[in-house]
Amino acid sequence: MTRSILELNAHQIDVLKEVSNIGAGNAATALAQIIRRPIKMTVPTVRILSFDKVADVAGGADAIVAGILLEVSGDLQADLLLLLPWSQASDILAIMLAGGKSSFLELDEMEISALEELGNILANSFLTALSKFTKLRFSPHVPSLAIDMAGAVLNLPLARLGESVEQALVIDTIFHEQQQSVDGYFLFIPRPQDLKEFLHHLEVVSR
Amino acid sequence: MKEAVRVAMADLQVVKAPLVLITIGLGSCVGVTLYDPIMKIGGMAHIMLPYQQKNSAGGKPGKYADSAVPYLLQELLHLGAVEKRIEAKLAGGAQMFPSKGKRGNDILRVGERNVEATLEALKKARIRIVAQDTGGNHGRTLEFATLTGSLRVKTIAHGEKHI
Repeated sequence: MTRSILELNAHQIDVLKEVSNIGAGNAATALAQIIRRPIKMTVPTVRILSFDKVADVAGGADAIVAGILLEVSGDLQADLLLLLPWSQASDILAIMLAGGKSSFLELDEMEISALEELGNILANSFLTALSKFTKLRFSPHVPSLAIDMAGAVLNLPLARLGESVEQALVIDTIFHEQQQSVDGYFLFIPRPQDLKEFLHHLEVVSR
Repeated sequence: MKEAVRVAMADLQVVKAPLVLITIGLGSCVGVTLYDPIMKIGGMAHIMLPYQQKNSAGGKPGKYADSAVPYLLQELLHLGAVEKRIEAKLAGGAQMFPSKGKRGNDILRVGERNVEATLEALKKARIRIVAQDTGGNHGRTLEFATLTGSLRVKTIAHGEKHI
């Protein structure tokens, strides 16, 4: 009874991968500048997942993460989500604010703001590249932070999708440093409304 | 721990004792349990949205409060539960992200609306509510023990309780 959000053909998946790769590359560069360390990234994966499986992309529903969510409007409605395993978020805060944090119970305004800004910068880097490639307009809204289980953090963007579809199209990239496995998960989750048109446009511009 | 059955997002499950029903990482979603304490039959739904829209994608009955509650009730009765003994517990329905400005407030409140719709559906089905741990801004993981009817609510920063 599950209906697919849409059928993606191989070419569409390739183009989505390519454009996300450019965007995520830009975001990785921005992240490297902020934390002053070299950052590598995986080639983005394009998948259509049942809602329950989305958290598995970011370490499982019970993984503790700092999630920075940005709603995107413009020519494509979407959500951008930066999920940082808590230990990484804590390290990044230490670099950004010159002082470590051991517990998420004690985040102050400045720390919340720093993490939101991090999400903001990465999202803007991603969208700028996407915009250059597609000649489309994307406007990110204000970032918002939640620190909790990944499953709980993902409820809101998935509920938004759930009003019209049964599955989520998730394009995810993993950022990592040389010496560590995972620094962050970057998820691009387009909403279904303008997706068909967006994909068609992508196919045209990529020819 | 006894053998556990996981309830996925937008899904529901009904089991007999001694099985344990679990659902992981409820944010704005609501977990609702129905239980017959004599037959020790328990069910749990992981609700994402309040109402099944007329033109929505449809989908699993566990996805919406107004479809999950009656469906779960029927499943319990089907397994031999007695309607007048059935009692409900609910948890979840948090607002995970703070509201900023005017835009999108309605969807940010989806947790609150999920709780309201679940309470409404339970009232409509004439099911007694015996415990509730909803709202706030934190996630919850639930474990429902069908042997005892106890619902364990775990959080990462707000402790753990049995309701």
